[in-house]
Amino acid sequence: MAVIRGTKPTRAVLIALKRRIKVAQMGHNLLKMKRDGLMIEFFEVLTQARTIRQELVEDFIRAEQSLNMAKATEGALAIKSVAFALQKEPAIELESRNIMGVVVPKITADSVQKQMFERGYGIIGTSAAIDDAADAYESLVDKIVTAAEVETALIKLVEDIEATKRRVNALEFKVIPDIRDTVRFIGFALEEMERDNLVKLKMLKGKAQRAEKAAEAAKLAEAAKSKAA
Amino acid sequence: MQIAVIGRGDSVIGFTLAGIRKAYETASEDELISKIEEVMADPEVGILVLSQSDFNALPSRLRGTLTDSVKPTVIAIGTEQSTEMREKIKRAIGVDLWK
Repeated sequence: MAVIRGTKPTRAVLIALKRRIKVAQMGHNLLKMKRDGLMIEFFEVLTQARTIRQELVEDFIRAEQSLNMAKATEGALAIKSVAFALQKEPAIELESRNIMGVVVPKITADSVQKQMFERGYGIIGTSAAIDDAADAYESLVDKIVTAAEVETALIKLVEDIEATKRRVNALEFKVIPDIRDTVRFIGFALEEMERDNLVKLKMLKGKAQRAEKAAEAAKLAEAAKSKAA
Repeated sequence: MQIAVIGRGDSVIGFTLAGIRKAYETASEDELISKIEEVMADPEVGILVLSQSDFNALPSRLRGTLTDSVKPTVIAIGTEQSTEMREKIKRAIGVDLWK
C-alpha cells in the first residue's frame, strides 16, 4: 500500500481524490488509444522505410560503380571540373506534417534530376561516363531526400511511442493505484474517527446519566430527611 | 534549403556531380568531427549525408545526437548495417522489427 505522502484524512480530500481517479482513468484511456494509433502509423512507416533503405543501398552501389567508371575513363580532376560547371543546386523544402500530435517533417526536393543539357557543362567536352555518373547520383540524391523524410518520421514516432508508453504505464501502475490506496486509507481513517467519536459520546452520556442519578438520589434523601424531621 | 555531404577522400565527388555545393572532403577523423559539428550548426542545411562506415566510426555520443537530430536530418548511406535505428526500435517497442 503506497499512500500519497502528506495527505490529510478529511472528507474534502477524499472527494478531491475520487475526482482525480476519474480524470486519471480518462487520461489513461486516451493515452492508450494514442499509443495504439501511433503503433499502427509506425508499422506503416516502418515498411516504407525498409523498402526505401533497400532501394537506397542499391542506388548507392550503382552510383558508386558509374562514378568509378567515370573516374577510370576521365580521371578525378575532369569530374571535379565538370562539377564546378554545374549551375543548379538541388534545393529542398521542409514542411511539417502532423501524425497524432507528432510533428513529422515533409521534405520535397526540386531540380534534382536534370536533363543532360540542363546541367550546364558542355556536351562535347565530356564523356558519356560522366553523364551516367551524374544521372546515377541525381537519382541517389532523390532517394536520399525520400529516405531522410521517412526515417525522420520513424525516429520521431518511435520516440513518441516510448514516451506515451511510459505515461500509460505510469498512470496504470503507479498513479491510479496510489490514489486508490490513499482513498482507502482516508476511508479507514474516517471510519476510525467515527468510532472514536461514538465511544466518546457514549462515555459522556454515561457520565451525565450517572450524575443525574446521583442528583436524584441526593434529592430523595433530602426529601426523606425533611419528612422525618 | 541545401543538402550537405561529408566524406573521406574523394568519395563526395559523385555528389558534387549531382549539383551539391556543400560537399566536404575530410582527411582525418578529427577533421570529420569538426566538419560535422560545423554543418550541424549551419541553418541552411536540411539534410546531411554521411557514409555508413564513417558514421559507425564516430564516438557513440555524437552518433546519438546525429540520430536524434531532425533539422538537419542526418542520413548515413552505405552497404553496412546501421545499428542506431534498430536499437531505438528495440527499446521503444520491445521487439526487433528492423530485419
